[in-house]
Amino acid sequence: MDDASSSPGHEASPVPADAATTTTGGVDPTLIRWMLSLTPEARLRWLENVLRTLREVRRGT
Amino acid sequence: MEPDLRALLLELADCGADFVVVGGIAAVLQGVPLATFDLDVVHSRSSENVLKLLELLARLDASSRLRPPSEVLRPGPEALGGPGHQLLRTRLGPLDLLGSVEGGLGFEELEGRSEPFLLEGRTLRVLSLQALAELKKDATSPKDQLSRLMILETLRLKQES
Repeated sequence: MDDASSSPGHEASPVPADAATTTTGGVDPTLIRWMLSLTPEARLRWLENVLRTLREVRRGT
Repeated sequence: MEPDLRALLLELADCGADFVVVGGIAAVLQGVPLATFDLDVVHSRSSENVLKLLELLARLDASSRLRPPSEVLRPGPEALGGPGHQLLRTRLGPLDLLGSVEGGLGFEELEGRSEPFLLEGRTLRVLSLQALAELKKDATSPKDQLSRLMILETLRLKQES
């Protein structure tokens, strides 16, 4: 599976067992840890996937 | 044509111009999960560099986003040689060429606060997370404040690991 096409919270995503159960300030540490586990190229692919999805939602496709 | 920010970044790298990647793409490359729609770079305003950028802008069919799409208005050497921001649409997506950023900082000041990143065989200079957070320290917009929080949390988690 393309590492940039998965997302945090799925089985493939590495969420440490001791991760906090609450967050403050609207920042999701699990998402950041997942992003940090990717290479810079994979991080760009993640962004491309996000933007593609947003465009599809806007177009209603 | 769909925007392709990666291709835009590679075109910039391949044109041989001196620049530092800043903004959302700089944050994403370093692991901050932010969605951003454009590529922001601070470029060297030397005349040699401006010439390279002008050639690139012509190849990318660039024009100002401040004008209607039907009106193609491309910045000239004076604009690129100044401290202002050129907000451009290109055939590969939105590109912001910044002569300077907060505090009047330009390429020369930011280059030393950047880190090299390898992308498809090219080495890019990307502004460090610490410097990105400092640029946004006086931000008043909720979007920039949230971005700064996410950058700081990413820095904390990087240092922790």
